[in-house]
Amino acid sequence: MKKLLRLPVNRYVDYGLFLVLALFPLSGSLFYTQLIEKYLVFLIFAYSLDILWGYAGLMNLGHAVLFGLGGYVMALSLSARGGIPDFMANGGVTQMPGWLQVLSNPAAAVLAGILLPALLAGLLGRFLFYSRVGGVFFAVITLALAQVFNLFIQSQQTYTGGFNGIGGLPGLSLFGNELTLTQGYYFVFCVVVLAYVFCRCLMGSRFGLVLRGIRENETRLEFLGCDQARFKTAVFAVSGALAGLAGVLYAPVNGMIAPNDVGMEFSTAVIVWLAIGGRGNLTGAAVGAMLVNVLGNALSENFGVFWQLLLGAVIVAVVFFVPDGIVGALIRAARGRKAGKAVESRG
Amino acid sequence: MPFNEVNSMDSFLALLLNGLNSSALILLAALGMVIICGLMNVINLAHGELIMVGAYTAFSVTQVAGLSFAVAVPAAFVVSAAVGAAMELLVIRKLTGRPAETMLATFGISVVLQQVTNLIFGAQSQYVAIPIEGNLSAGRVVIPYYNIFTILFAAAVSAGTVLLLKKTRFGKRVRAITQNRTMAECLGINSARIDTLTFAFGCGLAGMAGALAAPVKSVSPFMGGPYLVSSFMTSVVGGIASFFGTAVGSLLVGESTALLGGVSNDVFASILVFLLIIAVIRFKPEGLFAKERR
Amino acid sequence: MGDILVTEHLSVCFSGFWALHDVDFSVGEGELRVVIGPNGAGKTTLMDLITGRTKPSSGKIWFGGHDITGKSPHEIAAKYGIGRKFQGPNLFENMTAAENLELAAAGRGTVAGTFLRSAPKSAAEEADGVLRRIGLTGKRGLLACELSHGERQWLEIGMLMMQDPKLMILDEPTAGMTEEETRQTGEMIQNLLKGRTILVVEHDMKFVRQVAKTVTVLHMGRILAQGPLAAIENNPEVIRVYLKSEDKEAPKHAGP
Repeated sequence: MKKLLRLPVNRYVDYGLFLVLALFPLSGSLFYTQLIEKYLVFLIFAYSLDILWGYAGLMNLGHAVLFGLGGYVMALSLSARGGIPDFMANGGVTQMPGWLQVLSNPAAAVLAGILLPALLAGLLGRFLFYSRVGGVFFAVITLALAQVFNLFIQSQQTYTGGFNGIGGLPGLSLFGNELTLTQGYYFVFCVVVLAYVFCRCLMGSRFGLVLRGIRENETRLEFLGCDQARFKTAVFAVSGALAGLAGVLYAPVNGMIAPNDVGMEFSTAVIVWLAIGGRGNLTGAAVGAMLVNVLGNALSENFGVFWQLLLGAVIVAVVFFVPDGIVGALIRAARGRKAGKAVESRG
Repeated sequence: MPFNEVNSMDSFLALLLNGLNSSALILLAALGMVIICGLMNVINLAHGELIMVGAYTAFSVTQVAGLSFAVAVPAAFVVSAAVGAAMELLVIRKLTGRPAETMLATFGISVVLQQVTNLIFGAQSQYVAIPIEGNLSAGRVVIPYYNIFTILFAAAVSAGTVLLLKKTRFGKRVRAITQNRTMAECLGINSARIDTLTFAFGCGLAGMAGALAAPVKSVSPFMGGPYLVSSFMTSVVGGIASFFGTAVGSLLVGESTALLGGVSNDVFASILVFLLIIAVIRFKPEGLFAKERR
Repeated sequence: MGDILVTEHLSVCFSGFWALHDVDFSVGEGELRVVIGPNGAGKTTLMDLITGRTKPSSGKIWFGGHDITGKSPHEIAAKYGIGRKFQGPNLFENMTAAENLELAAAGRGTVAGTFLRSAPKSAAEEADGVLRRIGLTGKRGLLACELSHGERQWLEIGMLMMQDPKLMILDEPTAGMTEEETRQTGEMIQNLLKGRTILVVEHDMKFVRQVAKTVTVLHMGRILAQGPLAAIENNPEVIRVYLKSEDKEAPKHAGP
């Protein structure tokens, strides 16, 4: 009990949010349960960027590429369940390619959907971080990656469904049994909680400490004997795996995937969530993702373009007034009250 | 253009000239970015949107107001420079010394600029009539006169920019601050004013690039992204220390995209150029033309 | 005892300016060496070269019998065991004092090794011990940026204690400290000497007198003089280029 009281303030927000999300299907609204199920997937995606940008300070402007890689792998797998998918047949494919046969095995697809993004991130990291590339380079290179990847997906009409993407995907199923909406919701919820616990533990470890050290003062860390490039590459790969996992879930939950989900637009979205919610404490990523999406859903129908405009303006305002986001400001306020007293650790 | 059609010297020449045209546009955009980055150490993620603003200015001047393209280009410079000056005064200045947050703020501004344009003009693509019709044909090579104009204009503006920075008092001050800000301030240079002017000037160059691109590319609120990336890649290849590097960098980026696009397709070309840039970063992180630095 | 650190004909040139020129410098194992010299003499450049921050234009650096010329900073720190305190404290500003210390020992070794939930118990105890030694036990939970200047200097020295290198390089460890703090730092450094070599760059002659036995004087990128403190203080050349102007510039440090 005493231990519970001494937790950092943002943990209460985490637990509160999870409580609300756990109880949400009881509201009985199928429409909103389905919507929130999608946002649950976004939470994993937001966590994956937070360990990279929030903790290690590496702003990935093309994070949706990693998400999209997982998503497309899963979408291809799902669409290949009943033989050659329509968009391939239309493109003149008459025989199922070998790799797609492998992917049509769900376990293989899940594995590939997680490992491929991790591998891409790891390789990119290996090239970029070992040449002492600054944060700015990383940001713009990842932006370029998002563009190239988006072009690539759109150009491979035969294998990716091109501009229209891959639609009509079956929902979540587990060991061959299709899940009902509520079952699917709780399945995704469990994965989110697992992802959260994983990130919390990892960021609470010495690995997380080193990442924060990299964000704070990379040079100093090097002179303490830390090969920061290795740590950056490692966290980029882990972040890629998590983003891939989110994509793997997204394909069946959303029922379709399209180039918009993997390029600049969605990469921008996740940056916005973290900028608003706050970075480097996991809580801000979750709060930002939920807040922006729920508000966006409520407002974008009536306001359309204004909503996007507002988001842009809010980013600028956040930088000025709450540079560490909503949750960051909350943590600071709580810390201020305890000023002078020992604080164990942030986040 | 599929591979089998590129079988003669002529089509190769056509590709080369096409690449020169994109290089010219990239050079203008990249020059603005390099000057700003060198002086203020700011990477402006809204740089692409300033190109977009220039393109829409050209659209408004020629298609809406019905004026000549000769008015559109300087107008694009002025409008983009004004937007840039506002950005510098209202946002960037107040975030000095916080590079990560500056980058995030410029990212927010890029979203705002996109959406404001979207709100005014709509999301659909707009077109600007080609101001100089006709082609120059030499043998079987056909070059639009407008492309020649673009190349010459970009070269002239770049040369003018270099002269401005090398010969004028304003340029000397810019270079002094780039070298050593504190020292320059101690010598009585008003660095705040120079910052605003330079930022506006760099943005104006981007706007001009947008105006020049407008007649040959479709104009849309989201057209800026690729330009930001090419400008940035140019500054990676050329390094931010030299104008010569920027010129060669834009040639490399523009030509390699055009030539690779010629022998395969555009998507493959962009992937390859992207990989080449990563290779440059890996092995020459200071750029191919970096000066020795302490 | 042999020399643990040796430089041979070490030179570095920054666009035409020789910051160090043909420096043969050596430090014996277990020694506490102080390097002094006027501003721009090349003291910090020498430290940059030893720790891998700057690559030499020519010459070699040997440490413990290994050639460390041109190696990367993390390798020099982790593999060979050279720790460095920077001029003006260089800390992880938004992390607590305790975290600064933990971090000093965390980054070495493999990435996978750091996935463990927390540092081994011994390391946590070590951090507690270090906090006691640098007098910051009560401030372990404060952010580095919330500490006073002297405390920040000590925290960085504490980070070096955690790192536990064979050679400790301290670049102006007492800059900006009060006289009392300076004296305490001197004691701290002498305690640290047990089983290790220390290289100190300093301006404060009072402090130098407190800790130094052997002093090296750098001037315009070359070694001007080297020897026991007393001899250096009476060396007319050194007095001319350094000691005199130093005392004039900073009367607070002037000897009695």
